[in-house]
Amino acid sequence: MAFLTSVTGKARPAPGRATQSAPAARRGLTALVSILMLLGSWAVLAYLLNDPTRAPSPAQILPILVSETLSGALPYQLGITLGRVAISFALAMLIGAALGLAMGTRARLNAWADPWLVVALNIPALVTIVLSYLWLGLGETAAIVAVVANKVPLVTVLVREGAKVIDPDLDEMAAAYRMSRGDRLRHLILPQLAPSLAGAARSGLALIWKIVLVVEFLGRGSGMGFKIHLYFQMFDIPRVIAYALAFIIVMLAIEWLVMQPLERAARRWRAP
Amino acid sequence: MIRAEIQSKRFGAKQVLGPIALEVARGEVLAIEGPSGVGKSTLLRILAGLDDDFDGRVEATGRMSMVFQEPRLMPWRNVGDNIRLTTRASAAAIGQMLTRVGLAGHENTYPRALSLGQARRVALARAFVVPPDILILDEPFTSLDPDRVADLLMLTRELIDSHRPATIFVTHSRHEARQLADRRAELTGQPARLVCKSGDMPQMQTA
Repeated sequence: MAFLTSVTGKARPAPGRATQSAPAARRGLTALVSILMLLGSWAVLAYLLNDPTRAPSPAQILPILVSETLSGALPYQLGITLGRVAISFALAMLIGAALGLAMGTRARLNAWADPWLVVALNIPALVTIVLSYLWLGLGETAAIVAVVANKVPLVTVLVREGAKVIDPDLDEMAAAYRMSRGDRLRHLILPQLAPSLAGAARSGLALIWKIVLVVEFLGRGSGMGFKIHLYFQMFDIPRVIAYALAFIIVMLAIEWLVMQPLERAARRWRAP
Repeated sequence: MIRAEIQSKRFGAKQVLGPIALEVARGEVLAIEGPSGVGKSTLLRILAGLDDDFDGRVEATGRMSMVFQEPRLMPWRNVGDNIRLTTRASAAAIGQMLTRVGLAGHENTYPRALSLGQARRVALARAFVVPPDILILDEPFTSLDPDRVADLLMLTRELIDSHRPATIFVTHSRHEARQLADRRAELTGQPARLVCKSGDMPQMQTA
């Protein structure tokens, strides 16, 4: 019996890497110049104000950053805060993704839970933090609960919207081929949710580290927020800026080196 | 073998399918023709086990494969993964089947780089890579030009002849039905019933 071996139809070429790398390099250069301009503006402003105790220049902050790093104080506090950020982030993403997926794929559950979600979204972060400390005490659990409670509603909303556009045709195909629930979750649902999850992770990280600093500021005896509180009481503005700047640099590095590449990878298959 | 005795299928107050009895043995191809909206896809979803909200009974023995109107490939996975993840077929079997459908070496190609005709061949490869006992074809040649339809009809015929599954083929086209099927029936009326056009159809058994 003769079988067809010829290919009908013409394959369209996949987009090449070379065409994507040039704009990426240009974007990186633009970001670098933009940051240098920001530092320059800061230096000019500090020069014009001429008040090193209230408005220190970048050149005055740099030695503080170096000495605090070499003494080990800054890396220690940074590590504690990053640990809190990591735990809170993981818990918030896990709980928010599960709730968002459930609400996005079950209309009745969504109808019942949506008003709760709206309420949760509108509770000020400060109220959640204060209530957590009042209810659970000034401990690590209360700190983590406060951060997670602030972040979960946002993750839930983003994942819910992503889950609403899960392709029912692919789900039917998977059912016809009797794919297991685990395989369907891993190979069908999560890839479709990936852009929403990546977006939630990026916005979530940006929100969580700020809330962690507030939580530490209000009720912890360690971490970057605690140190900022300490130097705030001592009216030591250069050290407040140095600690805040160190943490901002680390979070920006995570954003650029981890979160943005992850989000691009999550959206790659949608490229034309 | 697949056997169905459907008393009715409703969407709310509207009865879409009336009493329908069908039986397809291994190696047989039954074509079901009918106009758009008559309930062909509803009937296929019931036969494929995708809809159990109906009055009646479907008995299907063995492994079932389905080819849909659209190729329904996962765009984030390459061709090889699309077949492997749904069927658990080995890399060697996938390579052989892709060669057989005319797509040798396309394991690492992503669906967005395929033409519609190629994507439909991948869907066929997915259906046959692990030999099915039951095959359900839901208008798998729509939106293709006549030459491509002829090629795919020939390929599908060859694959069916090789593996001899019990095949139910839904189509708008009388020509496609005649090319592929041993027996033909038409789904017609409201609620829809199956009317024999060639060959014998089983009678509905009364309880």
